[in-house]
Amino acid sequence: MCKKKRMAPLLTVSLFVVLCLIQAAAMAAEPTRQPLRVGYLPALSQLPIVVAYENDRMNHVAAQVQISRYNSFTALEAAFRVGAIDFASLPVPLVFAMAADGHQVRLVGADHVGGSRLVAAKQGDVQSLKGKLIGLPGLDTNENIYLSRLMQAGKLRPGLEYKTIRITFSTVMNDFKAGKLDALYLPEPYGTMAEIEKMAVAVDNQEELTGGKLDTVWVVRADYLKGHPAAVDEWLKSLASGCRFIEDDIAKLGARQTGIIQAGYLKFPAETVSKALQGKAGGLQYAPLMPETKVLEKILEDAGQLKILTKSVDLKTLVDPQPLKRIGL
Amino acid sequence: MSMYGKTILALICLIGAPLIAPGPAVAEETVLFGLNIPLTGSYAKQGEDQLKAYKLAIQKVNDEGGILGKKVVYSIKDSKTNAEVARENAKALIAEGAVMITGGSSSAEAITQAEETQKAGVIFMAALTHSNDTTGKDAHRHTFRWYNNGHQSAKAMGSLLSQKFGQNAKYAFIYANYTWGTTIFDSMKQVAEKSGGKVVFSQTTELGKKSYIADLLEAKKAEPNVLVLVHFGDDMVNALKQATQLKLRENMAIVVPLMEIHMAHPLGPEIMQGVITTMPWYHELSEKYEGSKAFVTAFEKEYSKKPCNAAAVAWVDVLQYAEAVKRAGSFDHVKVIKALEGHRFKLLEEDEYWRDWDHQGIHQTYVMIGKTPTESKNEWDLFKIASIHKGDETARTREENPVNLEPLE
Repeated sequence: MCKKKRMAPLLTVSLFVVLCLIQAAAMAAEPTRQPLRVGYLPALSQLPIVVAYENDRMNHVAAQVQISRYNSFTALEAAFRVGAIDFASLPVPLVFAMAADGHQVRLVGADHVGGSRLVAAKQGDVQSLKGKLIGLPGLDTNENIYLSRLMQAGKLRPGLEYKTIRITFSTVMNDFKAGKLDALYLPEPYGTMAEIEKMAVAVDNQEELTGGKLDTVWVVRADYLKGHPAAVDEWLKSLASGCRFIEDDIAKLGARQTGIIQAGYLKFPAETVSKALQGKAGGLQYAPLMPETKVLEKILEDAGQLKILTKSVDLKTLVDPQPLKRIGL
Repeated sequence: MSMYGKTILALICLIGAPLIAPGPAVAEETVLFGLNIPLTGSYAKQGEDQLKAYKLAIQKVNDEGGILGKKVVYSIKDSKTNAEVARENAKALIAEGAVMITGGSSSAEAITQAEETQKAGVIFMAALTHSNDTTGKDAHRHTFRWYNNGHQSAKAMGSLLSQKFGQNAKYAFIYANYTWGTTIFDSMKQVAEKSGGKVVFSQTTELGKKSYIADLLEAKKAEPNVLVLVHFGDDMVNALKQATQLKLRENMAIVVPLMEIHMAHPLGPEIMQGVITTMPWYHELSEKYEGSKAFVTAFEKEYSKKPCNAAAVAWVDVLQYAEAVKRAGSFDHVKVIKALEGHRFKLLEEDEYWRDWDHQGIHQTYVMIGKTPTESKNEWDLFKIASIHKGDETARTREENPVNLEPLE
């Protein structure tokens, strides 16, 4: 009897341990996919990310893609710098800046060209922007570089004949409506939105800005790429099919399906997106590609002249074409 | 254009030529379907497969020219395995202009969606919903449900249970505490008692529960011959896994009234062997019916896996709605309802039809038994068909299901 009493607590504990083990085993996770944290912005140039996520995330076997929305390139860059995300589509000068600061990142391709437009409150060509304030997505963006080239051709100097200011996507339309800005050079659909609301018209003769310019590029943390190449490859494949999906949808359905998909992420009106995509606003075209070295070198040079960069960057280390090659592109 | 611009465009042409080849000058007209399915929560795996089948079916419809000259686009909402989220999603989809809404991997979700679509005059093609109520007390004129129901499952299993466990069998039930679980419990209890059996234990559990250990140990104390686990999705996976680990199966047989392959797949034949269950469709029917073969082939080609029965009903819902609109010659909901009511078709089997008075899809129910590891030929080969039951033999009669659908006009 006494022995039984002594055994009772032991049996209780044993039973508890067994039950805990059973429960733990029952709740054990399935084979794990590697989390891949992707940041994106509300801009049509970022569409491949949300389309790829929406269409393919359930088919992934190597990557568990998690996407997070940010409201400016600055915020997206900051998230990358502090390690909150592993992958993003960022302006080339920002990628150079991170590399120059010693961040181990890799440029592994791009999913579109074009997609930004210069619109102003008043009709006119570049000269009409003399003395005006132009909103940009960031001073260390491709938009700033391309704008400075265009204005330079028109003999307009930054800071003297025109001014630029960095604006966030979440406030830009209100700022423009309130008259705080005279013009915008932003990724679509902001130009289209301003036109629909009859607040702005496209600046004349801006072909130099809209002719298939390299815009943002895919960037991934170097340690992630090294540690989980299969997850990166799988995600790049999805982005490539996202590009196909969007172009196919533009051609066949006037981008209506894409308009519906983005509504849950970018949150633009579907009709605005359809209009911008059908009109190929800003020369926007989607396809996976690896930027040419000479193009990157030119941006690097311009970024230095605009004092966006104070150090040079080793493109051979930064650019990694292998992932795109691995997936057959 | 700069040299760079030309280079990039040339590159795009090279890489994406087939992708961005010029389409029609004017985009084709479109019509919107609302897909309201659980992509998170206990029934997420079923929702994922449903979504895959929806996309495949819509692609087929579009490849064949669309519906009345209009291409189908779709809006996806995650119902989160939550009936009220499903209701709000349905409202949003109606506001977006959906002509047809489909979805539901839980009956509670299906029922809330059915209420909203009825109010709005939008067709609801219910997907995975097995509660008797969906085409019973909660039936609506705008709702059609191809998936079989608890009554059909219970009736189909009746003779096997009686034959296997005898007239004095003792049954224990652990069941999900919502419309599906409670109606299945009622139907299964009736069947068990009708065959002379006795219910010695019953316990409800909440949707999404992770541990069933306490309930299972309670059930064990009642010393049943048969343990009926009325759970679905991840809940059933957890319950069955825990029942096996507690070695309950040494003394009692396990019955799971409704099964789909994603619940069995992670458990494998080691755990699934001997489990008695029912299904409204199984991928091996592709060996028996041309329609099922076409569906399974298309699904496997696209997704490299076998479809579950949640996917099957999604496939049926989209294709049947599209065909009904074509027959009606209009997207008008009244005309489409008339085109569906009583319509006979061969899609996944040989003889299926939409019953006009309760909108229950009538087709076969399959009683299945889990294969042993030796019997199982591959990871998806987990069940053998024990018996096949004609739809009209298992479905409720008008007396058993005295519904009065709303008038059409």
